[in-house]
Amino acid sequence: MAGSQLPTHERHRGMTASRGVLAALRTSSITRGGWRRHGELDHGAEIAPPGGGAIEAPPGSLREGIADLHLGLRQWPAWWLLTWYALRSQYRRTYLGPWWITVQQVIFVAGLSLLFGVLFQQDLSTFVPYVATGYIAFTWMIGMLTGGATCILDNGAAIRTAPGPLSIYPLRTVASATIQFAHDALVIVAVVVAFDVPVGLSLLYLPVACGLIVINGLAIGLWLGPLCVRYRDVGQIITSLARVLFFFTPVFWVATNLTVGQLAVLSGWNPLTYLLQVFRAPLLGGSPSTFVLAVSVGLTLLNVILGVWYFSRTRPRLAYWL
Amino acid sequence: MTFAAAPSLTHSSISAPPTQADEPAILLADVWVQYRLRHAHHYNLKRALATMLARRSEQAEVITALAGVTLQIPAGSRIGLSGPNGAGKSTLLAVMSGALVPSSGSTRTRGRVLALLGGPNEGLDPEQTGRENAISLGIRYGEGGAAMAERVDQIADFSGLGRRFDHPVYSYSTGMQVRLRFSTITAIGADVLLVDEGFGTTDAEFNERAAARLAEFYAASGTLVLSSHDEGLLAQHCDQFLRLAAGQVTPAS
Repeated sequence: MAGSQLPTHERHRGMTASRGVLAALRTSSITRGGWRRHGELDHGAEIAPPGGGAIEAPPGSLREGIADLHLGLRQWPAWWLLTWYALRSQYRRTYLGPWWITVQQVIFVAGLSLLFGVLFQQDLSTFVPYVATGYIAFTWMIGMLTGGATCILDNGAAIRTAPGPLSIYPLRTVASATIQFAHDALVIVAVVVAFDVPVGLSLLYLPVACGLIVINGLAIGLWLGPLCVRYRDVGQIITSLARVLFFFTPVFWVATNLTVGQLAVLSGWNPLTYLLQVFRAPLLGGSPSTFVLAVSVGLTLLNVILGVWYFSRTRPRLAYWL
Repeated sequence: MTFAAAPSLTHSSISAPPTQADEPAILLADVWVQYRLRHAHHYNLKRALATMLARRSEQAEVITALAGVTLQIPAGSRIGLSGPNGAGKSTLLAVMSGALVPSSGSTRTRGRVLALLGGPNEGLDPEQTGRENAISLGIRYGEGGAAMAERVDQIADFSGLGRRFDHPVYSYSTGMQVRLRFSTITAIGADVLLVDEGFGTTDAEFNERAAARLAEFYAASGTLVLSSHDEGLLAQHCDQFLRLAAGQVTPAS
Protein backbone atom coordinates (compact mmCIF):
# COMPACT_ATOMS: atom_id res chain seq x y z
CA MET A 1 0.00 0.00 0.00
CA ALA A 2 2.71 2.40 0.99
CA GLY A 3 4.35 1.90 -2.37
CA SER A 4 1.36 3.31 -4.18
CA GLN A 5 1.64 6.58 -2.33
CA LEU A 6 2.76 9.55 -4.33
CA PRO A 7 6.38 10.20 -3.45
CA THR A 8 6.03 13.49 -1.66
CA HIS A 9 9.58 14.62 -2.29
CA GLU A 10 8.71 14.57 -5.98
CA ARG A 11 6.04 17.10 -5.29
CA HIS A 12 8.51 19.31 -3.47
CA ARG A 13 10.91 19.34 -6.29
CA GLY A 14 8.11 20.32 -8.62
CA MET A 15 7.21 23.19 -6.40
CA THR A 16 10.65 24.69 -6.14
CA ALA A 17 11.14 24.24 -9.87
CA SER A 18 8.00 26.17 -10.71
CA ARG A 19 9.10 29.14 -8.67
CA GLY A 20 7.82 32.38 -10.01
CA VAL A 21 4.77 34.52 -9.68
CA LEU A 22 2.35 31.63 -9.94
CA ALA A 23 4.18 29.47 -7.46
CA ALA A 24 4.44 32.38 -5.09
CA LEU A 25 0.75 33.16 -5.39
CA ARG A 26 0.16 30.21 -3.17
CA THR A 27 2.26 31.05 -0.19
CA SER A 28 1.37 27.61 1.01
CA SER A 29 4.28 26.31 -1.03
CA ILE A 30 6.46 24.09 1.03
CA THR A 31 9.99 25.18 1.61
CA ARG A 32 12.82 22.84 0.91
CA GLY A 33 13.30 20.53 3.80
CA GLY A 34 9.56 20.22 4.09
CA TRP A 35 8.73 19.75 7.70
CA ARG A 36 8.87 22.93 9.70
CA ARG A 37 7.07 22.40 12.92
CA HIS A 38 3.94 20.66 13.80
CA GLY A 39 1.27 21.56 16.24
CA GLU A 40 1.04 19.68 19.45
CA LEU A 41 -2.04 17.60 19.38
CA ASP A 42 -4.31 16.73 22.21
CA HIS A 43 -2.59 15.65 25.37
CA GLY A 44 0.73 16.66 23.95
CA ALA A 45 1.27 13.53 21.92
CA GLU A 46 4.36 13.86 19.79
CA ILE A 47 4.19 12.70 16.24
CA ALA A 48 7.05 11.83 13.98
CA PRO A 49 7.13 14.00 10.89
CA PRO A 50 5.92 12.22 7.76
CA GLY A 51 8.23 11.28 4.95
CA GLY A 52 7.93 14.44 2.92
CA GLY A 53 5.82 16.63 5.15
CA ALA A 54 2.99 17.20 2.69
CA ILE A 55 0.71 19.89 3.99
CA GLU A 56 -2.80 20.54 2.77
CA ALA A 57 -3.71 18.72 -0.40
CA PRO A 58 -1.52 18.61 -3.49
CA PRO A 59 -2.70 21.01 -6.21
CA GLY A 60 -5.42 19.57 -8.41
CA SER A 61 -4.89 18.65 -12.02
CA LEU A 62 -6.55 20.35 -14.94
CA ARG A 63 -8.18 17.06 -15.90
CA GLU A 64 -9.86 16.73 -12.50
CA GLY A 65 -10.92 20.36 -12.58
CA ILE A 66 -12.57 19.95 -15.95
CA ALA A 67 -14.20 16.71 -14.76
CA ASP A 68 -15.56 18.63 -11.77
CA LEU A 69 -16.95 21.30 -14.08
CA HIS A 70 -18.44 18.68 -16.36
CA LEU A 71 -20.12 16.89 -13.47
CA GLY A 72 -21.33 20.21 -12.07
CA LEU A 73 -22.92 21.16 -15.37
CA ARG A 74 -24.54 17.75 -15.64
CA GLN A 75 -26.12 18.23 -12.22
CA TRP A 76 -27.95 21.32 -13.45
CA PRO A 77 -31.44 20.24 -12.32
CA ALA A 78 -30.10 19.98 -8.78
CA TRP A 79 -28.43 23.36 -8.48
CA TRP A 80 -31.09 25.07 -10.51
CA LEU A 81 -33.72 23.90 -8.05
CA LEU A 82 -31.53 24.76 -5.05
CA THR A 83 -30.95 28.23 -6.46
CA TRP A 84 -34.64 28.66 -6.97
CA TYR A 85 -35.36 27.55 -3.39
CA ALA A 86 -32.68 29.85 -2.01
CA LEU A 87 -33.96 32.83 -3.97
CA ARG A 88 -37.49 32.11 -2.82
CA SER A 89 -36.45 31.79 0.80
CA GLN A 90 -34.46 35.01 0.54
CA TYR A 91 -37.71 36.84 -0.17
CA ARG A 92 -39.97 34.54 1.79
CA ARG A 93 -41.26 37.11 4.21
CA THR A 94 -41.84 39.80 1.58
CA TYR A 95 -44.92 40.38 -0.49
CA LEU A 96 -43.33 40.94 -3.91
CA GLY A 97 -40.54 38.37 -3.66
CA PRO A 98 -37.79 38.69 -6.28
CA TRP A 99 -39.89 41.33 -8.01
CA TRP A 100 -38.67 43.66 -5.30
CA ILE A 101 -35.36 44.00 -7.14
CA THR A 102 -37.26 44.74 -10.34
CA VAL A 103 -39.15 47.49 -8.57
CA GLN A 104 -35.86 48.89 -7.31
CA GLN A 105 -34.53 48.87 -10.86
CA VAL A 106 -37.54 50.77 -12.13
CA ILE A 107 -37.22 53.36 -9.38
CA PHE A 108 -33.50 53.75 -9.98
CA VAL A 109 -33.81 54.10 -13.74
CA ALA A 110 -36.68 56.57 -13.36
CA GLY A 111 -34.75 58.60 -10.80
CA LEU A 112 -31.58 58.70 -12.85
CA SER A 113 -33.48 59.60 -16.01
CA LEU A 114 -35.25 62.44 -14.23
CA LEU A 115 -32.02 63.74 -12.72
CA PHE A 116 -30.00 63.71 -15.92
CA GLY A 117 -32.94 64.73 -18.06
CA VAL A 118 -33.25 67.93 -16.05
CA LEU A 119 -29.54 68.49 -15.38
CA PHE A 120 -28.27 67.97 -18.90
CA GLN A 121 -31.46 68.38 -20.92
CA GLN A 122 -31.18 64.83 -22.19
CA ASP A 123 -33.75 63.63 -24.69
CA LEU A 124 -35.70 61.18 -22.55
CA SER A 125 -36.93 59.09 -25.48
CA THR A 126 -33.36 57.92 -26.09
CA PHE A 127 -31.94 58.42 -22.62
CA VAL A 128 -34.42 56.24 -20.71
CA PRO A 129 -33.85 53.13 -22.93
CA TYR A 130 -30.11 53.81 -22.72
CA VAL A 131 -30.09 53.88 -18.92
CA ALA A 132 -32.60 51.03 -18.51
CA THR A 133 -30.71 48.58 -20.72
CA GLY A 134 -27.36 49.66 -19.29
CA TYR A 135 -28.33 49.54 -15.66
CA ILE A 136 -30.12 46.21 -15.80
CA ALA A 137 -27.26 44.50 -17.65
CA PHE A 138 -24.79 46.12 -15.27
CA THR A 139 -26.71 44.81 -12.25
CA TRP A 140 -26.64 41.32 -13.75
CA MET A 141 -22.88 41.42 -14.29
CA ILE A 142 -22.10 42.96 -10.92
CA GLY A 143 -24.31 40.34 -9.27
CA MET A 144 -22.13 37.63 -10.77
CA LEU A 145 -18.94 39.47 -9.85
CA THR A 146 -19.77 39.99 -6.18
CA GLY A 147 -21.54 36.63 -5.96
CA GLY A 148 -18.58 34.92 -7.56
CA ALA A 149 -16.29 36.47 -4.96
CA THR A 150 -18.24 34.93 -2.09
CA CYS A 151 -19.57 31.73 -3.67
CA ILE A 152 -16.96 29.46 -2.09
CA LEU A 153 -16.64 31.31 1.23
CA ASP A 154 -20.41 31.30 1.78
CA ASN A 155 -20.59 27.54 1.35
CA GLY A 156 -17.64 26.69 3.55
CA ALA A 157 -19.52 24.35 5.85
CA ALA A 158 -21.01 22.37 2.96
CA ILE A 159 -17.68 22.13 1.17
CA ARG A 160 -15.93 20.79 4.25
CA THR A 161 -18.54 18.15 5.02
CA ALA A 162 -20.29 17.11 1.81
CA PRO A 163 -18.46 15.61 -1.15
CA GLY A 164 -19.38 16.52 -4.70
CA PRO A 165 -18.35 18.84 -7.51
CA LEU A 166 -17.35 22.28 -6.27
CA SER A 167 -18.22 23.93 -9.56
CA ILE A 168 -21.87 23.94 -8.51
CA TYR A 169 -21.17 26.97 -6.30
CA PRO A 170 -20.04 29.32 -9.10
CA LEU A 171 -22.81 27.79 -11.22
CA ARG A 172 -25.39 28.60 -8.59
CA THR A 173 -24.17 32.19 -8.45
CA VAL A 174 -24.64 32.53 -12.19
CA ALA A 175 -28.07 30.90 -11.98
CA SER A 176 -29.15 33.17 -9.15
CA ALA A 177 -28.07 36.38 -10.91
CA THR A 178 -29.61 35.19 -14.16
CA ILE A 179 -32.98 34.36 -12.60
CA GLN A 180 -32.95 37.85 -11.12
CA PHE A 181 -32.04 39.28 -14.52
CA ALA A 182 -34.93 37.39 -16.13
CA HIS A 183 -37.27 39.28 -13.81
CA ASP A 184 -35.60 42.60 -14.61
CA ALA A 185 -35.59 41.93 -18.35
CA LEU A 186 -39.29 42.71 -18.37
CA VAL A 187 -38.37 46.32 -17.64
CA ILE A 188 -36.21 46.37 -20.75
CA VAL A 189 -39.03 44.94 -22.83
CA ALA A 190 -41.44 47.52 -21.42
CA VAL A 191 -39.06 50.41 -22.08
CA VAL A 192 -38.23 49.28 -25.62
CA VAL A 193 -41.93 49.02 -26.42
CA ALA A 194 -42.98 52.19 -24.60
CA PHE A 195 -40.28 54.36 -26.20
CA ASP A 196 -40.75 52.75 -29.58
CA VAL A 197 -37.06 51.88 -30.04
CA PRO A 198 -36.46 50.82 -33.67
CA VAL A 199 -35.07 47.34 -32.96
CA GLY A 200 -34.36 45.12 -35.94
CA LEU A 201 -32.45 42.10 -37.09
CA SER A 202 -29.47 43.16 -35.01
CA LEU A 203 -31.44 41.73 -32.05
CA LEU A 204 -29.77 38.48 -33.05
CA TYR A 205 -26.71 39.84 -31.24
CA LEU A 206 -28.63 39.72 -27.98
CA PRO A 207 -28.34 35.96 -27.35
CA VAL A 208 -24.62 36.25 -28.18
CA ALA A 209 -24.25 39.02 -25.62
CA CYS A 210 -26.17 37.05 -22.98
CA GLY A 211 -24.04 34.00 -23.70
CA LEU A 212 -20.83 35.97 -23.29
CA ILE A 213 -22.06 37.51 -20.04
CA VAL A 214 -23.05 34.12 -18.59
CA ILE A 215 -19.75 32.50 -19.59
CA ASN A 216 -17.80 35.36 -18.05
CA GLY A 217 -19.92 35.17 -14.92
CA LEU A 218 -19.06 31.51 -14.49
CA ALA A 219 -15.39 32.01 -15.30
CA ILE A 220 -15.02 34.82 -12.80
CA GLY A 221 -16.62 32.70 -10.08
CA LEU A 222 -14.22 29.89 -10.89
CA TRP A 223 -11.12 31.97 -10.17
CA LEU A 224 -12.38 34.75 -7.94
CA GLY A 225 -14.26 32.41 -5.58
CA PRO A 226 -11.14 30.40 -4.61
CA LEU A 227 -8.93 33.51 -4.63
CA CYS A 228 -11.21 35.20 -2.09
CA VAL A 229 -10.87 32.17 0.16
CA ARG A 230 -7.09 32.23 0.03
CA TYR A 231 -6.72 35.99 0.35
CA ARG A 232 -9.48 37.47 2.40
CA ASP A 233 -8.59 41.04 1.38
CA VAL A 234 -9.61 40.34 -2.20
CA GLY A 235 -13.28 40.17 -1.23
CA GLN A 236 -13.03 43.64 0.32
CA ILE A 237 -11.31 44.98 -2.78
CA ILE A 238 -14.09 43.57 -4.95
CA THR A 239 -16.76 45.17 -2.78
CA SER A 240 -15.23 48.61 -3.12
CA LEU A 241 -14.48 48.08 -6.79
CA ALA A 242 -18.04 46.99 -7.55
CA ARG A 243 -19.35 50.23 -6.10
CA VAL A 244 -17.06 52.46 -8.10
CA LEU A 245 -17.33 50.43 -11.32
CA PHE A 246 -20.78 51.90 -11.81
CA PHE A 247 -19.17 55.22 -12.68
CA PHE A 248 -16.47 53.75 -14.88
CA THR A 249 -18.86 51.79 -17.06
CA PRO A 250 -20.97 53.71 -19.59
CA VAL A 251 -24.21 52.88 -17.80
CA PHE A 252 -25.70 56.35 -17.57
CA TRP A 253 -23.26 58.58 -19.42
CA VAL A 254 -22.72 58.79 -23.13
CA ALA A 255 -19.21 59.25 -24.42
CA THR A 256 -19.38 62.21 -26.72
CA ASN A 257 -16.65 64.78 -27.27
CA LEU A 258 -14.11 62.56 -25.57
CA THR A 259 -10.70 61.71 -26.97
CA VAL A 260 -9.65 58.10 -27.29
CA GLY A 261 -7.21 58.67 -24.45
CA GLN A 262 -9.86 60.08 -22.13
CA LEU A 263 -12.17 57.22 -22.99
CA ALA A 264 -9.48 54.67 -22.26
CA VAL A 265 -8.90 56.16 -18.82
CA LEU A 266 -12.57 56.42 -18.12
CA SER A 267 -13.88 53.05 -19.24
CA GLY A 268 -11.60 51.45 -21.81
CA TRP A 269 -9.76 49.41 -19.19
CA ASN A 270 -13.01 48.03 -17.82
CA PRO A 271 -14.07 44.66 -19.32
CA LEU A 272 -17.69 45.36 -18.38
CA THR A 273 -17.70 48.24 -20.88
CA TYR A 274 -17.33 45.91 -23.83
CA LEU A 275 -19.82 43.30 -22.66
CA LEU A 276 -22.29 46.04 -21.90
CA GLN A 277 -21.94 47.49 -25.39
CA VAL A 278 -22.52 44.12 -27.02
CA PHE A 279 -25.64 43.71 -24.92
CA ARG A 280 -26.99 47.21 -25.34
CA ALA A 281 -26.39 48.00 -29.01
CA PRO A 282 -29.01 45.62 -30.45
CA LEU A 283 -31.59 46.80 -27.92
CA LEU A 284 -31.14 50.38 -29.06
CA GLY A 285 -31.51 49.48 -32.70
CA GLY A 286 -27.82 49.25 -33.60
CA SER A 287 -25.10 46.63 -33.81
CA PRO A 288 -21.96 46.30 -31.71
CA SER A 289 -18.79 47.29 -33.54
CA THR A 290 -16.38 44.60 -34.66
CA PHE A 291 -13.80 46.01 -32.28
CA VAL A 292 -16.13 45.72 -29.27
CA LEU A 293 -17.12 42.20 -30.30
CA ALA A 294 -13.53 41.12 -30.75
CA VAL A 295 -12.45 42.53 -27.39
CA SER A 296 -15.41 40.86 -25.68
CA VAL A 297 -14.64 37.47 -27.17
CA GLY A 298 -10.92 37.83 -26.38
CA LEU A 299 -11.59 38.81 -22.76
CA THR A 300 -14.01 35.92 -22.41
CA LEU A 301 -11.38 33.46 -23.60
CA LEU A 302 -8.78 34.82 -21.17
CA ASN A 303 -11.28 34.76 -18.36
CA VAL A 304 -12.26 31.15 -19.08
CA ILE A 305 -8.65 30.01 -19.25
CA LEU A 306 -7.84 31.76 -15.98
CA GLY A 307 -10.98 30.40 -14.33
CA VAL A 308 -10.51 26.78 -15.35
CA TRP A 309 -6.82 26.84 -14.47
CA TYR A 310 -7.10 28.43 -11.04
CA PHE A 311 -10.20 26.46 -10.09
CA SER A 312 -8.58 23.16 -11.07
CA ARG A 313 -5.46 24.00 -9.16
CA THR A 314 -7.07 25.12 -5.91
CA ARG A 315 -10.04 22.74 -5.84
CA PRO A 316 -8.62 20.07 -3.48
CA ARG A 317 -7.23 22.76 -1.15
CA LEU A 318 -10.34 24.82 -0.65
CA ALA A 319 -11.53 22.63 2.22
CA TYR A 320 -8.25 23.42 4.01
CA TRP A 321 -8.43 27.15 3.42
CA LEU A 322 -12.00 27.64 4.51
CA MET B 1 -20.83 -6.89 -7.44
CA THR B 2 -19.35 -4.01 -9.34
CA PHE B 3 -16.44 -2.13 -8.03
CA ALA B 4 -16.58 1.59 -8.30
CA ALA B 5 -13.35 3.40 -7.65
CA ALA B 6 -13.84 6.53 -5.63
CA PRO B 7 -14.43 9.35 -8.07
CA SER B 8 -11.11 10.93 -8.85
CA LEU B 9 -12.92 14.18 -8.28
CA THR B 10 -12.92 13.92 -4.58
CA HIS B 11 -10.08 11.60 -3.84
CA SER B 12 -6.48 11.47 -4.73
CA SER B 13 -6.84 8.23 -6.56
CA ILE B 14 -4.41 5.40 -6.81
CA SER B 15 -4.32 3.02 -9.69
CA ALA B 16 -7.17 0.59 -9.27
CA PRO B 17 -6.25 -3.04 -8.73
CA PRO B 18 -8.22 -5.79 -10.45
CA THR B 19 -11.83 -5.91 -9.36
CA GLN B 20 -12.44 -8.13 -6.40
CA ALA B 21 -15.68 -9.20 -4.90
CA ASP B 22 -14.34 -8.79 -1.38
CA GLU B 23 -12.99 -5.32 -2.00
CA PRO B 24 -13.38 -3.39 1.26
CA ALA B 25 -16.00 -0.66 1.50
CA ILE B 26 -13.44 1.86 2.69
CA LEU B 27 -9.73 1.73 2.12
CA LEU B 28 -7.32 4.27 3.55
CA ALA B 29 -3.61 3.92 2.96
CA ASP B 30 -1.20 5.99 5.02
CA VAL B 31 -3.51 8.98 5.09
CA TRP B 32 -2.07 12.20 6.42
CA VAL B 33 -4.04 15.36 6.86
CA GLN B 34 -2.01 18.39 7.75
CA TYR B 35 -3.06 21.96 7.49
CA ARG B 36 -1.68 25.34 8.32
CA LEU B 37 -3.14 27.25 11.16
CA ARG B 38 -3.49 30.54 9.36
CA HIS B 39 -3.78 33.72 11.28
CA ALA B 40 -5.23 36.86 9.80
CA HIS B 41 -1.92 37.94 8.31
CA HIS B 42 -1.62 34.74 6.33
CA TYR B 43 -4.76 35.68 4.46
CA ASN B 44 -3.34 39.09 3.70
CA LEU B 45 -2.63 39.65 0.04
CA LYS B 46 -0.26 42.56 0.57
CA ARG B 47 1.82 40.56 2.97
CA ALA B 48 1.85 37.57 0.65
CA LEU B 49 3.13 39.75 -2.17
CA ALA B 50 5.78 41.31 0.05
CA THR B 51 6.88 37.88 1.19
CA MET B 52 7.04 36.75 -2.40
CA LEU B 53 9.10 39.74 -3.51
CA ALA B 54 11.50 39.36 -0.61
CA ARG B 55 11.78 35.66 -1.48
CA ARG B 56 11.16 34.85 2.11
CA SER B 57 8.83 32.17 3.18
CA GLU B 58 6.50 32.85 6.01
CA GLN B 59 5.04 29.68 7.32
CA ALA B 60 2.06 29.20 9.53
CA GLU B 61 2.04 26.61 12.25
CA VAL B 62 1.25 23.15 10.96
CA ILE B 63 -1.47 21.07 12.58
CA THR B 64 -1.46 17.33 12.02
CA ALA B 65 -5.03 16.09 12.11
CA LEU B 66 -4.37 12.60 10.79
CA ALA B 67 -0.96 11.04 10.99
CA GLY B 68 -0.66 8.06 8.71
CA VAL B 69 -3.96 6.27 9.10
CA THR B 70 -4.20 2.95 7.29
CA LEU B 71 -7.55 1.22 7.44
CA GLN B 72 -9.44 -1.46 5.63
CA ILE B 73 -13.10 -1.54 6.42
CA PRO B 74 -14.86 -4.55 4.88
CA ALA B 75 -18.38 -4.06 3.56
CA GLY B 76 -20.98 -4.70 6.23
CA SER B 77 -18.77 -3.66 9.15
CA ARG B 78 -20.08 -1.58 11.97
CA ILE B 79 -17.24 0.56 13.19
CA GLY B 80 -17.38 2.57 16.37
CA LEU B 81 -15.01 5.50 16.34
CA SER B 82 -13.95 7.05 19.63
CA GLY B 83 -11.22 9.28 20.91
CA PRO B 84 -10.68 12.53 22.78
CA ASN B 85 -11.61 15.94 21.38
CA GLY B 86 -9.28 16.95 18.61
CA ALA B 87 -8.12 13.40 17.98
CA GLY B 88 -9.12 13.62 14.33
CA LYS B 89 -12.46 11.76 14.32
CA SER B 90 -14.33 14.33 12.28
CA THR B 91 -11.38 14.76 9.92
CA LEU B 92 -11.26 11.01 9.40
CA LEU B 93 -14.96 10.93 8.55
CA ALA B 94 -14.54 13.89 6.18
CA VAL B 95 -11.73 12.04 4.38
CA MET B 96 -13.85 8.88 4.19
CA SER B 97 -16.76 10.85 2.76
CA GLY B 98 -14.57 12.32 0.04
CA ALA B 99 -15.14 15.92 1.08
CA LEU B 100 -11.55 16.32 2.22
CA VAL B 101 -8.64 15.35 0.00
CA PRO B 102 -5.82 14.12 2.26
CA SER B 103 -2.42 15.80 2.25
CA SER B 104 -0.87 12.50 1.31
CA GLY B 105 -1.90 8.90 1.14
CA SER B 106 -4.76 7.41 -0.77
CA THR B 107 -8.40 6.65 -0.18
CA ARG B 108 -10.92 4.53 -1.93
CA THR B 109 -14.53 3.82 -1.21
CA ARG B 110 -16.94 1.43 -2.77
CA GLY B 111 -20.59 2.19 -3.36
CA ARG B 112 -22.54 5.20 -2.30
CA VAL B 113 -21.26 7.00 0.76
CA LEU B 114 -23.57 9.26 2.73
CA ALA B 115 -22.27 11.32 5.58
CA LEU B 116 -24.07 12.98 8.43
CA LEU B 117 -21.33 15.35 9.53
CA GLY B 118 -21.04 18.82 10.95
CA GLY B 119 -23.31 20.65 13.35
CA PRO B 120 -27.02 19.98 13.85
CA ASN B 121 -28.14 22.58 11.30
CA GLU B 122 -25.51 21.74 8.72
CA GLY B 123 -26.94 22.09 5.24
CA LEU B 124 -30.31 23.41 6.42
CA ASP B 125 -31.73 26.70 5.18
CA PRO B 126 -33.47 28.33 8.15
CA GLU B 127 -35.96 30.16 5.93
CA GLN B 128 -37.20 27.01 4.25
CA THR B 129 -39.66 24.58 5.77
CA GLY B 130 -38.63 21.15 6.97
CA ARG B 131 -40.23 19.65 3.88
CA GLU B 132 -38.29 21.90 1.48
CA ASN B 133 -35.08 21.32 3.39
CA ALA B 134 -35.57 17.55 3.20
CA ILE B 135 -35.93 17.79 -0.59
CA SER B 136 -32.95 20.15 -0.91
CA LEU B 137 -30.76 17.92 1.23
CA GLY B 138 -31.70 14.87 -0.79
CA ILE B 139 -30.89 16.65 -4.03
CA ARG B 140 -27.55 17.73 -2.64
CA TYR B 141 -26.81 14.11 -1.83
CA GLY B 142 -27.48 13.19 -5.42
CA GLU B 143 -31.14 12.19 -5.42
CA GLY B 144 -33.53 13.42 -8.08
CA GLY B 145 -36.07 16.09 -7.19
CA ALA B 146 -38.99 13.83 -8.14
CA ALA B 147 -37.62 10.90 -6.13
CA MET B 148 -37.31 13.13 -3.07
CA ALA B 149 -40.81 14.55 -3.50
CA GLU B 150 -42.11 10.99 -3.48
CA ARG B 151 -40.18 10.11 -0.37
CA VAL B 152 -40.81 13.26 1.61
CA ASP B 153 -44.00 12.07 3.32
CA GLN B 154 -42.20 9.03 4.60
CA ILE B 155 -39.44 11.31 5.92
CA ALA B 156 -42.07 13.46 7.61
CA ASP B 157 -43.55 10.40 9.30
CA PHE B 158 -40.25 9.12 10.51
CA SER B 159 -39.07 12.47 11.82
CA GLY B 160 -42.14 12.65 14.03
CA LEU B 161 -42.20 16.40 13.48
CA GLY B 162 -45.88 16.33 12.52
CA ARG B 163 -47.30 19.73 11.73
CA ARG B 164 -43.93 21.34 12.39
CA PHE B 165 -42.52 19.62 9.30
CA ASP B 166 -44.13 22.36 7.23
CA HIS B 167 -42.84 25.16 9.42
CA PRO B 168 -39.65 27.08 8.62
CA VAL B 169 -36.54 25.57 10.15
CA TYR B 170 -35.63 28.75 12.03
CA SER B 171 -38.44 27.85 14.41
CA TYR B 172 -36.89 24.43 15.14
CA SER B 173 -35.02 23.44 18.26
CA THR B 174 -31.63 21.75 17.90
CA GLY B 175 -33.16 18.35 18.50
CA MET B 176 -35.76 18.94 15.79
CA GLN B 177 -33.03 19.89 13.33
CA VAL B 178 -31.18 16.68 14.12
CA ARG B 179 -34.40 14.73 13.60
CA LEU B 180 -34.91 16.33 10.20
CA ARG B 181 -31.38 15.66 9.01
CA PHE B 182 -31.21 12.11 10.32
CA SER B 183 -34.60 11.20 8.86
CA THR B 184 -33.70 12.61 5.47
CA ILE B 185 -30.25 11.10 5.16
CA THR B 186 -31.31 7.66 6.27
CA ALA B 187 -34.24 7.72 3.85
CA ILE B 188 -31.75 7.79 0.96
CA GLY B 189 -30.25 4.45 0.13
CA ALA B 190 -26.54 4.21 0.89
CA ASP B 191 -23.87 1.54 0.99
CA VAL B 192 -21.76 3.35 3.54
CA LEU B 193 -23.13 5.61 6.22
CA LEU B 194 -20.86 7.93 8.19
CA VAL B 195 -22.40 9.46 11.27
CA ASP B 196 -20.73 12.03 13.51
CA GLU B 197 -22.33 12.19 16.98
CA GLY B 198 -25.74 13.77 16.73
CA PHE B 199 -27.93 11.82 19.10
CA GLY B 200 -27.14 13.90 22.13
CA THR B 201 -29.93 16.39 21.59
CA THR B 202 -32.85 14.21 20.58
CA ASP B 203 -35.25 12.63 23.02
CA ALA B 204 -35.42 8.99 24.04
CA GLU B 205 -38.43 8.24 21.87
CA PHE B 206 -36.68 9.39 18.69
CA ASN B 207 -33.38 7.82 19.68
CA GLU B 208 -35.12 4.47 19.87
CA ARG B 209 -36.52 4.81 16.37
CA ALA B 210 -33.19 6.12 15.07
CA ALA B 211 -31.46 3.11 16.57
CA ALA B 212 -33.99 0.82 14.90
CA ARG B 213 -33.36 2.50 11.56
CA LEU B 214 -29.60 2.15 11.92
CA ALA B 215 -30.09 -1.52 12.78
CA GLU B 216 -32.21 -1.91 9.64
CA PHE B 217 -29.43 -0.31 7.63
CA TYR B 218 -26.67 -2.59 8.78
CA ALA B 219 -28.89 -5.65 8.76
CA ALA B 220 -29.07 -5.04 5.00
CA SER B 221 -25.26 -5.29 4.98
CA GLY B 222 -24.65 -1.56 4.93
CA THR B 223 -21.34 -0.32 6.29
CA LEU B 224 -21.62 1.99 9.26
CA VAL B 225 -18.99 4.24 10.79
CA LEU B 226 -20.30 5.92 13.88
CA SER B 227 -18.30 8.47 15.80
CA SER B 228 -19.32 9.28 19.33
CA HIS B 229 -18.16 9.89 22.87
CA ASP B 230 -21.07 7.80 24.07
CA GLU B 231 -19.63 4.36 24.79
CA GLY B 232 -23.11 2.91 25.24
CA LEU B 233 -24.21 4.09 21.82
CA LEU B 234 -21.11 2.65 20.18
CA ALA B 235 -21.55 -0.67 21.98
CA GLN B 236 -25.17 -0.81 20.88
CA HIS B 237 -24.48 -0.40 17.16
CA CYS B 238 -20.93 -1.42 16.48
CA ASP B 239 -19.04 -4.67 16.42
CA GLN B 240 -15.59 -3.23 15.86
CA PHE B 241 -14.00 -0.29 17.56
CA LEU B 242 -11.40 2.17 16.52
CA ARG B 243 -9.81 4.58 18.86
CA LEU B 244 -8.11 7.65 17.50
CA ALA B 245 -5.56 9.57 19.51
CA ALA B 246 -3.49 12.40 18.13
CA GLY B 247 -4.44 11.52 14.59
CA GLN B 248 -3.40 7.91 14.82
CA VAL B 249 -5.33 4.72 15.26
CA THR B 250 -4.59 3.15 18.60
CA PRO B 251 -5.71 -0.25 19.80
CA ALA B 252 -9.27 -0.02 21.09
CA SER B 253 -9.60 -0.53 24.79
